[in-house]
Amino acid sequence: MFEKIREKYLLNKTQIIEIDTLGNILNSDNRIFNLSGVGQIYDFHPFFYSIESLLSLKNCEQIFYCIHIEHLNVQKSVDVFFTNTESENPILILYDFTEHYTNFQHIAQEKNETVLNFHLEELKTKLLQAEKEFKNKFMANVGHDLKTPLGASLWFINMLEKTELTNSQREAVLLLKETNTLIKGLIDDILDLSKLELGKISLDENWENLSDIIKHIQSIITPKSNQNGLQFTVEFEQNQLPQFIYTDKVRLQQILINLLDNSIKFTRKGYVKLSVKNIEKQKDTAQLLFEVEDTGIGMKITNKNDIYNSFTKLHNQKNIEGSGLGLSIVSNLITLMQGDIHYVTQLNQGTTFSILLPFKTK
Amino acid sequence: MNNSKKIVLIGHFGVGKSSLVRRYVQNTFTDNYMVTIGVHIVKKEIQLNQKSITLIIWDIEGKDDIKKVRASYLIGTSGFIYVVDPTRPQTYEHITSEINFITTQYPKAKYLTVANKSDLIEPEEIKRLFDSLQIKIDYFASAKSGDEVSSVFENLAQQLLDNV
Repeated sequence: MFEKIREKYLLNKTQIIEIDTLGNILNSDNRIFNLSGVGQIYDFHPFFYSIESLLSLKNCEQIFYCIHIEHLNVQKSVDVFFTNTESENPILILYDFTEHYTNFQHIAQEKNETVLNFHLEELKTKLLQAEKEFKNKFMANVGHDLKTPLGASLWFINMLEKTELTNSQREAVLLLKETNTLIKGLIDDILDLSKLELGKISLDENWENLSDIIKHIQSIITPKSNQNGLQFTVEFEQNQLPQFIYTDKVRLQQILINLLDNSIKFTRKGYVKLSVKNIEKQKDTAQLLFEVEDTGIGMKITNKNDIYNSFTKLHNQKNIEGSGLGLSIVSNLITLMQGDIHYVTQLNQGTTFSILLPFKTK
Repeated sequence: MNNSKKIVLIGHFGVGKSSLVRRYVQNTFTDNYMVTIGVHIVKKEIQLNQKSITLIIWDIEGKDDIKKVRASYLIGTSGFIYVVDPTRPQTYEHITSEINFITTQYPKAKYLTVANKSDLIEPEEIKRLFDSLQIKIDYFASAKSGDEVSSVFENLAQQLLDNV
């Protein structure tokens, strides 16, 4: 019975080849590979060149693991045992471990791919960072180069404005001034964003009166919303809020004014609202929630974070100005202030931005 | 038997040893990574300056330490090609000691160092990188583009012929 089992399961997994010291094949049982008609072992497969130096050595044994051999369309992964005794011709024994090595190959493939993919992701991130840094440096340089002549141009326009002009000349000067101011705003945005992304902006924090900050914002936004026929309201529960917060007033105002400006730009009718709430009041700290809500056109969003990428414009309305830098600046400033920004939006219904910022208070 | 020489490619996994062999022998390339286990052996006969030589090329599985390579794979090696990936520092951080191991254990063997995947980095940058690390790289090759691949094998083959 054993012989039958051996014949069925083991014999076809091994092959014995007898050769002479010149590498000529003398005998082979051809259990794995058919070597009929093959003269020298080197003609069977180039692997066997490696035993050439062993043929002259007597009482020599050597095993070679996991050799992939293809012969007459038969592909196997074998271990090769070589023995050369005093009295016998050199013998080669091939053990077919194809199944075992194939399984091992799958495991190794998975393991190595994980390492290589991780490395690939690291490389991509590095490349993206390098590109971003280049873009920011480029923007900062161009921005600076543009700012000087533009400043001179605005100065001349201001001088021109003070001279005696006809009505049509004055209109032209006003238009010129508006355009220049718009460009200046855009350049300021570019410079701000490039500095933020390069980590070159630090906060200039001081103790500030929260109520004064909100009043200042109100004084800027109210005329703009009136001009657009919108109602602007502020919800500010003074008794629930700290009187003083430790913050960079200019940057906090920049964040809120930027969002409110956006709301006004994208709201045809209805209202724009700013609310300030105290979410978590401790003895010397507070988490304040600023919400900017509008009844505007809303946004059609495919990727929630896309809106914070620079130069992303979420509308195709040509009559609405904007570089697409505003939200990116806002998002970067909030990160710098260790806060969070979220939004909910519904197309043709409106958008609400929520900003949560931590402050030291007194 | 004619003049045959065994060449072994060594280096970490994923540096492109099999791709270099495939490019040289079959002039093909694929981006699909297929791990090598054990050894694949191919033969290529070439003519150099009217002399013929048969290269028996051993493409062995990648190891992060040459001492972990099965000794039987290196028996009778005439030439080594040590391959690194310039985008993965861990593939060349121990190259000096690895080369020392080769020259000590196989003093008669010739060797070349090759930075594969050089298409992924600017040529000047890659040279600056290895110069700054004081690592001698003989060839900046790319199995993908084919750049310098034949030169690697032919240079080593020429050294082996000169060594006869």
